[in-house]
Amino acid sequence: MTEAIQKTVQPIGVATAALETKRLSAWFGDLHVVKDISLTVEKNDVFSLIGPSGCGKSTFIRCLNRLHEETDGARVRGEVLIPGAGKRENIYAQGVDPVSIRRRVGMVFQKPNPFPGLSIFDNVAAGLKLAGVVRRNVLEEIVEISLVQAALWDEVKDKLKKPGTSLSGGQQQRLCIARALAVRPQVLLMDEPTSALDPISTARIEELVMKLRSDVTVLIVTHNMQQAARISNQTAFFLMGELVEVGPTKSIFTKPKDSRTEQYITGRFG
Amino acid sequence: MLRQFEVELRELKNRILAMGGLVEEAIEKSTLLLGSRDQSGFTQLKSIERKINEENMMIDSICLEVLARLSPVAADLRLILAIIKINTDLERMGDQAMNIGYNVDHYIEDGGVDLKLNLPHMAGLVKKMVRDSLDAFMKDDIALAEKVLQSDDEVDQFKNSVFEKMVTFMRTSPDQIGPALDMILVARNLERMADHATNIAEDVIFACTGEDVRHGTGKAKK
Repeated sequence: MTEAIQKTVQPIGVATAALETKRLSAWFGDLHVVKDISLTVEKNDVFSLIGPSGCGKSTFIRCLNRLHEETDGARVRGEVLIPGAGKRENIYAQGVDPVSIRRRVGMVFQKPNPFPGLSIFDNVAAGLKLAGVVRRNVLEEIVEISLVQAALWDEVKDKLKKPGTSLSGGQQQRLCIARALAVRPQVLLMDEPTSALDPISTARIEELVMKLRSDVTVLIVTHNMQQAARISNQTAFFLMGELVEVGPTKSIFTKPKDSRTEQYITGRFG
Repeated sequence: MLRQFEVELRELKNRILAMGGLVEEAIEKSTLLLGSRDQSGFTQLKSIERKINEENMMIDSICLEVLARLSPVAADLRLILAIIKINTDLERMGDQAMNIGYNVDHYIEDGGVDLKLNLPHMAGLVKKMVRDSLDAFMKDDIALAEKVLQSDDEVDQFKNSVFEKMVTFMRTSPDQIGPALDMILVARNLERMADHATNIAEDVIFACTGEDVRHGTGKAKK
């Protein structure tokens, strides 16, 4: 990381940081795709990651809930710290269960992926059941809260037993967000969550993200510059696996410090 | 291949430059009226001002379209913002040239006595500021923009000296208050034009660096 970036990323206290990476690197076999990234995301931030295809931003967020290691030949080095019981916990520390991390750091993918064959209700309840929640009234309450949070309740409350896959693309994506929210994550990772959606569905997801920030910290990978500008308060620009610049979205989109950021966001490359 | 934004930008920059040319011509025409009783100059000035107004509306319309279609960011956004503001400054300068035309018209009606103020010299200073500010805009020349900011002091001093001379003159020649007031207004309009050229220079610095130097807040010395 350059000196300029180190200056931008101020050390943030335990109380306000939702997530911090320390010298995080990731590989696919010998290919070094995420290079030594140190950054801090504050609680209740909507934090955008932008950069050209292949710059490592999706791999980076997949490292934040230990999903990257599920790929054959993939490995990670460095630390990812999230607040635990009274202290910060490195999710890559020995003995940490990746499944428990994925409950605390949820993820929504580019293409909506409701569980096929499961009803709308069961899609949202799936994570809770895996976590051992069995009481019907508890499940019902959390499913409703999660669907309300995901701005989907009014549209599906009368058809909870219908298959999740029967919904429209935009509704399916909000169902996936409800499913992720049901297990009460501290952080929600979103990997291009609107790239497969029409403008109206995109606008609904964007509105939803802005509302969610009061409950959960959101990291969002997007190729849509205007989306990053609209919904996030912090933005990081990645290039060839490196973090080039991070700072308030307003600064990145009006007066970026690094000429590579400027060239990318103004469409001169990438 | 040029980005679409750069194609649109080139057109906008050329339009601003052409509009600046019209403003310079308007300043020239308005001050030439001081030494002439030929009304055709005023007619020409009105025609130039009409063209400035048309260009002002056309540039605004193109900027609106660029913002809507291309959603510029960073340096592109700063540049569009600067163009919108420069466009307004140039249009206002056209209005001020017209004001001078009316002031001079009135002055000639009042007898057109020579008050030895050398206002064409002041107009020359203002025209140079306008030209330099637009050159700085076209060439992204921050040093030239800063020079324009410094030139404003000279124009302010000239205006103050005109005001002082005219106040003294009115005390000693109360029957000549009309022409003296006309010349005060001419100097005032020229000084306002210099302020607009200063605004353009400030916008150039903002577009190039992102630094807002208005109201003496930046590093650039005003």
